[in-house]
Amino acid sequence: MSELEEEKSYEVMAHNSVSGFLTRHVPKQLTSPRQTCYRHRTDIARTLVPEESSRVAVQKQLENLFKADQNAIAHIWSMFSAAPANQRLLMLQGIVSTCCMPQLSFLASAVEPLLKIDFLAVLPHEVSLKILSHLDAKSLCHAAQVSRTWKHLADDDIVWHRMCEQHIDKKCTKCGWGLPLLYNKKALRKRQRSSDGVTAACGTKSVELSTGAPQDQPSKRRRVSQDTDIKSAATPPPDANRRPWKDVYSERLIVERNWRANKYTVRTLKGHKDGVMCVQFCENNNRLISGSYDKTVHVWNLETGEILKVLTGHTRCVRALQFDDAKLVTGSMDNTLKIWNYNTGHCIRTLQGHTDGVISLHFDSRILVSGSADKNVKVWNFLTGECFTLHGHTDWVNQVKIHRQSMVVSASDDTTIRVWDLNTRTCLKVLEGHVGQVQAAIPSMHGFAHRFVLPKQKPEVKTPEEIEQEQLHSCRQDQQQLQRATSEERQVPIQQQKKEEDDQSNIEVIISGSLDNTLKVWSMETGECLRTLFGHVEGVWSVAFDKRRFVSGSSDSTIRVWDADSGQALHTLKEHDKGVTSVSLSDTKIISASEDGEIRIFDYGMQV
Amino acid sequence: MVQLLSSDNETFTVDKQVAERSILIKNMLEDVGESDAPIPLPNVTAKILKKVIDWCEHHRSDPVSQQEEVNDRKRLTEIDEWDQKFMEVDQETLFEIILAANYLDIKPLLDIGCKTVANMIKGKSPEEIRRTFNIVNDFTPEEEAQIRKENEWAEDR
Repeated sequence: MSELEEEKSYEVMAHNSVSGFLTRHVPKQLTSPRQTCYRHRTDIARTLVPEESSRVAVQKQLENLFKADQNAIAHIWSMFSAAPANQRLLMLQGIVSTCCMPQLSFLASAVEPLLKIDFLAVLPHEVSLKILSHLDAKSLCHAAQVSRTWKHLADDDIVWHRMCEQHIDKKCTKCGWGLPLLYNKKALRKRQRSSDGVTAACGTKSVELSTGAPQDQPSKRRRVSQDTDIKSAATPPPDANRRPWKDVYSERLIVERNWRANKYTVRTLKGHKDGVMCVQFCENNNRLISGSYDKTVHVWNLETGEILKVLTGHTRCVRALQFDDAKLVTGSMDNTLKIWNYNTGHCIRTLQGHTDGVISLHFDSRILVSGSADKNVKVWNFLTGECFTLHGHTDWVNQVKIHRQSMVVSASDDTTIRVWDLNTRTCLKVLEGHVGQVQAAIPSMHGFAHRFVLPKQKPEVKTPEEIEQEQLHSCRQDQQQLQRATSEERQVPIQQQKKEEDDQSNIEVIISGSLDNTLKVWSMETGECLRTLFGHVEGVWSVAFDKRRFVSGSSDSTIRVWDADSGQALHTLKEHDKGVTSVSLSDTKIISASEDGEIRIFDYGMQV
Repeated sequence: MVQLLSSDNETFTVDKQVAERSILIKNMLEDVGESDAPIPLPNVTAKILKKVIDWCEHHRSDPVSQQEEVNDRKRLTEIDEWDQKFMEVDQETLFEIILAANYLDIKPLLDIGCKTVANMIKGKSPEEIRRTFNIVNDFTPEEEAQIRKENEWAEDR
């Protein structure tokens, strides 16, 4: 046999063995397709674009070779692709065993990326969303920048709705962040217009959360649909009516960051001719009302700072006020309370009964409670006109707050806080512990969660003296608190710290401020002082709080912001020249009144 | 005991209690009643079915009810140590385990799988995420810039 013949017959043989191999295996593949792996599933093949281009590159390289070599290599490939799984493995084992080091290196680097899986693109939609629901906001926003498929998933409304549910108006159990509710002003104004809007005192505390912030949705819908009407409804996608939850979340996160970084803009309202003693504002109806030593009440446009009305009638300093959608009630050192229509500026009624100045007041839909320099608390019934008196305090009553409809909390110059039952008209508790006049005492709102719990007290035997002398006991407690406040946190055993982290408490508390320069947190149930907050260098005049922070105004002319969860001092605002007499708080603003006659608006909202 | 048949025709014999971690199998057993015939699982290969059975064996006595809620409350990083080891597998296996857990309706296993993937995403830049999962950036440069701007608010937490 000549060499040529030999080669020829070899070629024929090779050809035969190749075609034989193919005819043996290809039909089998067609009738029972190989177990589809991730790379060869037809439903996901479209996501594997890069492989197509690499295949083209390989083809080009092949075409540069001699014809015979091209054929031989093509044979190898076609045989490999025709082979059943177990034979493929065998082929690979053979190839790998003959590889040189550089070829193995090539294999390793070529295989490495191909072993990766674009999970979100190929998993069922609901599983992908489940994965994303475990991410924080920052990671979700990074995920949205990965690819078109990822963006579609990571911007999904379901995922962000869940984020909103976890964070807005509560603390997230995973990351510890809580975000403000931020109701929609326009929506609320519309709602007011449609209903008669006489119910519910305004102010931030009356805005209840359902889930997330959906109460602004209906009117949003209305507004947008009007817009599309104007644009002759060219492209009305059904979902565009609603604001994406991601936007809702981002807006609130920015506001909360502003609070944490103490990033605010400040405006000053000037108009009063003497110290301003009380202030309240309502973003829903864009009003701010203030009372002053100049005997007047000013009604302001909150947004523009314009004075809308000056209410005159009181003959001495106006010390207390509260307003809702329909009415304003003021209390004055002239011993009277006045009820006003603050839109027209008319005084509707004057309530007489106190024998000295009225220092404080609070009303709900049924009753008005007032505290006075005559040491008494009076409860006035709006419907029946009936009035009764709660005796007990031995000095001026500086703040009164109705709590859960049937109770009143009062703070007095006699250094005590009292809790009253309105049904039996008796004093339920006397909270003693402040060593100065108590200027403010506010019970916590529904859903207020915190970590102001006393560490489990060691079982110690108390002497009868100790039990009797409550005052001494609370003094001692103060010292403990002081030590705790001044000593480093690392002294608290780590175990206990961890436990505290897990145990958010919902027990009702009272937060008070006193001329002894401190704020105190009290258990409503036991009357114990749970925590004392130090920081102000002069007396505390006024306290306001929501679920995320406390705000206190002091005669040291500063406003302090405290973390409502831990009681930690966060920021000190020094903008006033004289003592801060009154502070008011919303999701985006602190508003303060001062003896310097000015009102300041600290706005932590989105800076437009 | 219950017999399970994988897609590649391998038979596994497991305790009923273990098999019933899968709600799919539990429902099947309730519908069909006691039977010696193996239950065919055409979507799960032997390799993955073995992994899943290992997991079910280890978690055989976990309380079944409210499992999801309990897991939800835990921090993201809080995957049980055994489960963490269990999930130290290549991406293909992880992918197949998630698919199997979804198909077999084993919620806690699906949850751990999802958390494992979430942990692979967490804290990474978009480019690092692409590298982790071999994803091609299919945005135009203009789109990319626009989307980066849209998402800027989440930075510097």
